[in-house]
Amino acid sequence: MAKEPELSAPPSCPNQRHRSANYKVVSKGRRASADGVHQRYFCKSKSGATHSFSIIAPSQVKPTKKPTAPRVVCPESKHKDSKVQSRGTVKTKTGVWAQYRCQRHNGDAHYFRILLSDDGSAHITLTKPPACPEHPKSKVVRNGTYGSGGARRQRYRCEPEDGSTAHHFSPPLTREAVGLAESCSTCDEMLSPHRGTLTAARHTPWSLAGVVQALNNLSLGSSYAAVALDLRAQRRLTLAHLKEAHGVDLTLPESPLPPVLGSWSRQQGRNAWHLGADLVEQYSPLLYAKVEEELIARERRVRAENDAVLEKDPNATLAHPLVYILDEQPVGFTRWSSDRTRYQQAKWSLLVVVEILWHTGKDPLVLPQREPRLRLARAYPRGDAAAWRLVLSELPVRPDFVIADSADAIRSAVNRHYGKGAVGFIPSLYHIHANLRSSLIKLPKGKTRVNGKERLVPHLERAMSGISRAELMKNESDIKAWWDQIIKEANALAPKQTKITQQRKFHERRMIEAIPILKKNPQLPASNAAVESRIRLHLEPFLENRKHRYRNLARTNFLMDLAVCRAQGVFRDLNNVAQIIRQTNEDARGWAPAPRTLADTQPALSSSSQSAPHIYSSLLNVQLISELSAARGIPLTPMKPPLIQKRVPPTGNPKGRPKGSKSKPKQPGAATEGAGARAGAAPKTRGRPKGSKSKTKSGRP
Amino acid sequence: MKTALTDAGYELFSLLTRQTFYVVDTEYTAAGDEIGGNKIISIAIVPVIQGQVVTGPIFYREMNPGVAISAESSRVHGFTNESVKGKRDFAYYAPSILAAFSDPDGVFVAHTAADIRALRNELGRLDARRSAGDGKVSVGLSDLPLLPILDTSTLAGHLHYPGYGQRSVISLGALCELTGVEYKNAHNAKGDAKSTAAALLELLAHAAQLGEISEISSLLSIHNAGTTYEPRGAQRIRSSKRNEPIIPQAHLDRHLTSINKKASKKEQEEWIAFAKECASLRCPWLRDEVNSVGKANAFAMLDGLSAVLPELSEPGQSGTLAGAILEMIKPSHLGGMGALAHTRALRWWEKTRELLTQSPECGARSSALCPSCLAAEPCPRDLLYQYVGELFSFGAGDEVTTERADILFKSSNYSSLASRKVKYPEIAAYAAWRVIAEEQEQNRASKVATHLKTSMRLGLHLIEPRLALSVCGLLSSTQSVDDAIKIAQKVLQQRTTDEAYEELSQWLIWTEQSLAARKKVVVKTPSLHPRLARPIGRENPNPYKVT
Repeated sequence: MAKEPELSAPPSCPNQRHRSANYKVVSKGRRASADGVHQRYFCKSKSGATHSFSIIAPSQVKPTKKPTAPRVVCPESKHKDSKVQSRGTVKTKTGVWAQYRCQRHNGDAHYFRILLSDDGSAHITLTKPPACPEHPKSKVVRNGTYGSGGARRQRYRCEPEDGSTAHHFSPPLTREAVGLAESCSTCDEMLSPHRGTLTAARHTPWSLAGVVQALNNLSLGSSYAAVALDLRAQRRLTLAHLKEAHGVDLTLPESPLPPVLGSWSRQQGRNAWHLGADLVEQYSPLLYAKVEEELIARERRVRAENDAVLEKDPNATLAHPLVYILDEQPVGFTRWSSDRTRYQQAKWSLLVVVEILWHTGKDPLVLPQREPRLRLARAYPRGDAAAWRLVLSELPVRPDFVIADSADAIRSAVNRHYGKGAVGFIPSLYHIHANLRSSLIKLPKGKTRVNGKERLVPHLERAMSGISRAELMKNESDIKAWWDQIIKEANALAPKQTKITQQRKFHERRMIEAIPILKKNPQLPASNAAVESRIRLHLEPFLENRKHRYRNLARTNFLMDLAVCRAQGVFRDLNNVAQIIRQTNEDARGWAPAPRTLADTQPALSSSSQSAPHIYSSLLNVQLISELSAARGIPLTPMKPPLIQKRVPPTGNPKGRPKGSKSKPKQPGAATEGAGARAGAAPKTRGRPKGSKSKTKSGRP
Repeated sequence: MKTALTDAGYELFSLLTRQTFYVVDTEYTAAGDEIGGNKIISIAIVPVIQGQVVTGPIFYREMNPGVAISAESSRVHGFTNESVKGKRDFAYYAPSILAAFSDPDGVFVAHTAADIRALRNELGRLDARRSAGDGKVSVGLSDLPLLPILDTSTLAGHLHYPGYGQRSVISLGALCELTGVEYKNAHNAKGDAKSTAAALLELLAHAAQLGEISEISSLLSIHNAGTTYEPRGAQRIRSSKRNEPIIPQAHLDRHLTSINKKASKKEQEEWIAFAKECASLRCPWLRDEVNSVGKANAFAMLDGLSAVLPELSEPGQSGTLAGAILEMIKPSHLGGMGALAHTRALRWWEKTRELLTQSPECGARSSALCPSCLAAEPCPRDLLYQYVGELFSFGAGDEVTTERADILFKSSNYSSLASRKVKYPEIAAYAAWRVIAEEQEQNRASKVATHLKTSMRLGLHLIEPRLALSVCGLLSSTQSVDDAIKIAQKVLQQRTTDEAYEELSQWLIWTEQSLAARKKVVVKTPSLHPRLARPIGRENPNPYKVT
């Protein structure tokens, strides 16, 4: 082993008092130790006292490597071709920064900095700080953070160019503060200090990505509570990672959970559901508005095209008719009555509209392919004609055809909304078949068992098979003959089948009315199976295990809008969803729409009751249908108001009319009580000549 | 076992089942607090050792509780005063019961905390006897070994067993169904204890397969059901099924042989006696029975069936019979031929209404409910008048015609609402609503307005909730909300189980609260930092808001 050179001049003694001429330091060789090779020295005084000390050998001390700035291009997007010169490094509290000068071709120059990683070899993403909303061209630097716990956000300082006072700000959508200069094996990439996780809105701890994921789950039918708990769990994981791997403690002290018996998830679900509900309330209208805009534009275009074709030739066959398939999904459950005396059945209805999109192939002889797509889903207290009119009022144009089961409510609503005969109505063959089958199977000897399941006896089954799309497209006499056959078979089993006869009376006319439509438009479906399958696919997850939990009419419909958004492809690209939310919130200075404005009005708690009453639900308030119709200007049944019989203060004459006078005397207070009081006083005699045509007691004139 | 265990899961399962589990079930009197807690009639203790239910004879004792066993309690477990007459009391069996818990490190397992509480009550009573100088008593509460408790009614929830859902406790039957365990001999201590033991093993296997709990002590601390000295948890599980009537098998068998043809006089009498038995038992099959019998015999049997009403003295019975009557008189029922012709409907109703009024109503929130009330449907007692009213509104036809509507609303006609209102106000009111509803459906606005006005003049809207709702809705939008509220409040005072009252109630709450909200003055505090506050109007419009 080669001997290493010793220090040329011995160092001074580490003891301050020995640094005088009375002391002399001499080298005494080297000695290896655990932390490397040490150079030993003796410090001798003139009096003879000696002590030794050692310092690490100079060859063992690594020379400090000055961080070098890596070669980079200017982060400004238009300065890619500029000349960038290093201006050394500077160490700050944050870490080591490489400084550069960017020289433009036109002679302009500016400086920028890039934070270096620990080893000085790599550098972080090149991003700029956000621009100040008030001074777009000012200099912006990071200026600490604000907020506490998980809501700690990056703050910036703006130094305006015009020399006005500097101020601090945060961008509309804030970002989480990024911990710098850590090395974490999980976080593969080091974030820019300006690129912390983006929040969805001000004053919320949830990230934009988390909110988008939550909305996606909601559109798939996840419950409010499940989504909320998922959001919280994700947040907890992130904070735990920051604390464990990065030493950044953003967690707040957790409140001790109250001791409860039973499942924790039940307790959590009760507390958490409102977070999911808030997201629906805040963001569903934003997403649906975008979808609706496109849908309305498309439907108006198709309507205009079809109208143009029909204007030229009223009997023309439409290549791409505008078709809606309608169906109602009744939802029944049990709940406490409003006076909380007993459980009772309650119900609401889900009214569903499915549109048909046409895909024409290259072969002109092949009928265009149908693509059913969920167009609209609405929850209303009832599925009556008035509710259907509310649904139809949201559709922008008149369809060419409507396909539905034989519910009177739908037919009535379509006729009233678009005018009788304005829309071709096709009764669903599937429902006619199902109704008839259920009646026939109840006949004595009408059923048999096949593999444990009830089936129609073979000859009835054969008769039923006569009803098909092909049969419907034949002529009127074939349909009548088919009904004759069914009634004959039914009568053979049980004479005088009034129910089957009533069904014939109900369905036959509608089937006959549909023949010319189906003959002329063979591409149209003759059944509403499409809407049934869309309900099963898109909407049943929303009802599974929680149909009894829906209470709020508006919020439930906003949730249904999310299902429509999914069916229309909004959630195919979550980035698109994030962009819509970000754009809208940034336009409102980072604020999301106010949550919890949809809450149903509830009676105040009485002093005796301990828990909230939960007895009013807008989804179960039948009267809201007519109120909404009135609010939207939909004429339902134009009723004149009945006139209340107001109590008239006694005057001298009990009839209130002096004998022989033709005009009614003014009663005290009548003028202020309104026309109802005045008119209601004499409803029988109004408009009739005195004593001439008033009815007698026997009812004869 | 339903859960398939991997090797690692089996290891954990072995660790979890190292201790002995004593699965206990008792049957007891429902005497409750009056005698210082329930008294045990039978007890079974099934040990589970090394993850297996002991196959040999299990500990099972039946005893005399020393107090009368109520009929309700007997219906549950089958023990009667006679059946326990010759048996020994709890004091005699107490030493052997306590000796059955031989492992001091064992775990006490039961479904709900009711069993341990019953056991502690019994031992507490022995203490009292011993301190009073009873020499026959050798053991007491202090001899009960201190064991931790596992309560299977909540354990599945703590382990997040699949299918458990959001409930807080689960009944033994439901737990067995969930865990795929055979559940026979319900409410027999031996059968229940065996089923509980099998369900426990399945739950522990699930816990082992999850791999999150490796020691029984961890499970016990999560579960937190207390110890035999300090039990915690639900004493009983509330179930709607406990209100269901218990129908003897012999009675159910009779339903299999119902009449499908025209019955003779004797057969009719026999069937009415059978219907009376059904009503007494609150049998849910009576309505189905009417469907088959009534087709050929409804007309002849209706009066006989109505005559049974005075003989029914307990709540729920008249509701059951009213359900059967309702099936008979439905206009659209039995092939379109109801038992009541419109000509005799009102006379029949006059008699039946009186009988119904005199008979006891269904008890709210009690076990004395008719099948409809039990299913949370409106009680047939409250709906019967509607079918008579419908018949009355139809007249000779099978729907409301314009001619019939004119007759009803003529003030001086014998069949008019004005004259019928005196004797049959509810029928007249319902018929008025039926006519108006039909006219609304047919969009005959002028008729609707006239007839509503007439109904109000006759005061019918204060009798029928449907009519009241129509009137209230109309008044609130056109004239006076206060008048509408008064009408609704007045009508709701006579509230029955008819769901139309619920609709009216929803309307009333909404209207009152909307009015209150409008009157409420909202004082907005000015924002100190308006630049930082939410921009004004930053909220989504609510298209469903009605002001």
